[in-house]
Amino acid sequence: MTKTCCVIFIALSASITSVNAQELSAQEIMEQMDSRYDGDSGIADYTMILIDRRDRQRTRELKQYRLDDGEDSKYLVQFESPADIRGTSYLNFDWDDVDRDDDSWLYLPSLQRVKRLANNDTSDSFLGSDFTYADINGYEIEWYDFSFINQSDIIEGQDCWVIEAIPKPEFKERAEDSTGYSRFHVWIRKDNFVQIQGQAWELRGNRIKYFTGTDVVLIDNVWTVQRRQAVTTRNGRREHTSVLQVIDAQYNVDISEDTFTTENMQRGLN
Amino acid sequence: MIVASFLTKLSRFVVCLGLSVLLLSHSLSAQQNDFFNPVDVDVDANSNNEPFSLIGWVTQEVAKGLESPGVNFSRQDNDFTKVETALFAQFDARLNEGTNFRFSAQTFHDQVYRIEDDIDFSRAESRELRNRFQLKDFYVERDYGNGLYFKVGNQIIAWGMSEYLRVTDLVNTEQLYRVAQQDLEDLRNQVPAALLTYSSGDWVFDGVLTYAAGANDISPEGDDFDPFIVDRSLGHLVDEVDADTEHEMFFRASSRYSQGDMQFVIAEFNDNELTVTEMAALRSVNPQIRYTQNRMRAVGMAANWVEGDWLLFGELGLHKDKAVRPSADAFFARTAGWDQKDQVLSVAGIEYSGYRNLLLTLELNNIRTRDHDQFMYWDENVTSFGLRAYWTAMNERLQLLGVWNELADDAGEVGRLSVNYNYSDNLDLGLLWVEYASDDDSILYEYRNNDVLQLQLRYNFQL
Repeated sequence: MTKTCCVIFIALSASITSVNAQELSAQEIMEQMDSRYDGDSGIADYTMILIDRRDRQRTRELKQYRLDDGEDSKYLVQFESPADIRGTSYLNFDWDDVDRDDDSWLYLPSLQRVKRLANNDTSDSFLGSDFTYADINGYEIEWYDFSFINQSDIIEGQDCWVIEAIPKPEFKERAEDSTGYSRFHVWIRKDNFVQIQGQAWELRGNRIKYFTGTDVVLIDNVWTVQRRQAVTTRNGRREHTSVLQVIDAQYNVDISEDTFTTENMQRGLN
Repeated sequence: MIVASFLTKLSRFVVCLGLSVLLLSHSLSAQQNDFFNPVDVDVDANSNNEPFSLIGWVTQEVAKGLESPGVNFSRQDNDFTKVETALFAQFDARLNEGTNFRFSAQTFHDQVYRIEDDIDFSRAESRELRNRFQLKDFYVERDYGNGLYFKVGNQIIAWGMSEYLRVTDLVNTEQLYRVAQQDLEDLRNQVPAALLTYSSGDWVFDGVLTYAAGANDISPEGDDFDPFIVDRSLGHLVDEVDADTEHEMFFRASSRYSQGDMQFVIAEFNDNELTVTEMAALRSVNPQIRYTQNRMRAVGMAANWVEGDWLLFGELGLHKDKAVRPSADAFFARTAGWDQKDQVLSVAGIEYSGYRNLLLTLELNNIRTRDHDQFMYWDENVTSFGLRAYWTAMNERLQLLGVWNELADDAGEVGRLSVNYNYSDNLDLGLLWVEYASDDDSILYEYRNNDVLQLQLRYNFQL
């Protein structure tokens, strides 16, 4: 089973654009986008900026390691600043099997031990940001029906499809529980299948989230969205904003399987 | 002012109603586009790959006792219990690929010993708590890259899954100067230890050797949590002596599976709680009671399992040769120290994370003493539980933690409520309230009036 483009950390490649893009259905576009090669592994440094409605900013620096094993993926995210959360680690095993929940652990230096997470509800905020765990780990494509909102919308000079995703009736409860969204729209560039905008309707609190991806560049032959922004709004007013900026990204680097262990979460950050 | 504001809003509403559908949709579209527009932020574009780092924080804590602890304590009124300034610093260095070094320490100064000059503090209190230095981490670690890992020095090794009962989490001592008032990072004390880890397939094997780890940090004479306050009030002379054997050994095998983890622990160690090893001069009006760390052995296991939004966890262990407190009637009959018994400790817990940004945890604990007799203070089976609720709001700027702990054998209850507000990357504000309760037949009765309200200001820095 596969997951959609809403996996915010995973870079995107455009190596499959040989298909005539104009003839694709919305479902096929989503599948194309999801199945693109993004490297077998990656290391990236990010800066995450959290901005409240009074424009006060908090900054977090984090490093992400990723290793693919077939269709399964392992992620380790380590926070490097600020001082009070330095050393916090999040480990996630994202299984391809749709019936198998992800395995996740969190290490908080203040707790001084690794804690397993029951994260069936992945709609929780990812460490204080406007991105949820589901935004990071992805959604199941099979849970949704996709249709075109607009066949051509020009965003920042790029021609995009605008596609709506609505949960299929048989997966509605599951999709809503795990994402917290009733539906979402995505804007996908036609030239490289990169998602550069998104809009998601939250189930609770009359909130709408706006996702924006900019600074799309080719790194190690992988299309990478270097700046991701999520804005949470309520009743048409901005509540909170998160910006995730790639500082450095490398793909297909040699990462040991031992990196993705609970023991490693507690070890030195340098 | 409020009326004016309301009228302003009302007039805006009326004006809005007058707008055409076209204008409205155009307005909404424009607003939507605003939310897609990139927000200006300051980002340091340089990746930090320095081989060393220094982080730390300065905290200022002011705590006020809400009740009068009683005549046996130095503080006999609802005075300030703490006006403490602390500096914590942690230095990390990468010595070479796979080898790291860490040094961290904290120094404290408590001004309450000057401010509350009408309190007759004991010498021990002023000596131990007015100015204090604590070495925390001080270790070198080496990852050999072939499944072998070694770490030597002052360190924390936290095992197990229970929050309230130590079944398999036996390596580190605890800091009990202010029971239930400590920050999370101060719960465990680092101990001098060598840790060797070997990973093979799905299994990880840990071996730990400690030396001169000592016992739990306990409050000095006359302090609010002086554990010997009853002894002292009765005129007993309390003598603390080091353990006979200074080294301890711990082994663990752990494995992780889809949906669950498990670990097995076996250990020979010194009990971190002081127990009576000898009593002298019984006919004296001031009998001398000697406390030390009893040598024990333990075998145990811990496991957890995830099912949807639920995390189930449990621990089971056998602790051999636990020195058990005698009943009041039998207390002075145990001149050669307290009896040693085997105890079966069990923990069952459940955690629910299905409601947004809320984590609820319930943990039940039981201790069953084998060969129980009438001379023991505790019942054969003693049960306790802990209930915990942790909630975050405002994108984790605000954190609320509530804990209710029913202590073993109806000895009392401890309630704890803390609120933390992350004002900025550097500044955190905290408020803590702790409530203690106990019946008059409990050994914790003396501590029932230690309720406290504490304010905390914390400034974080990173170089």
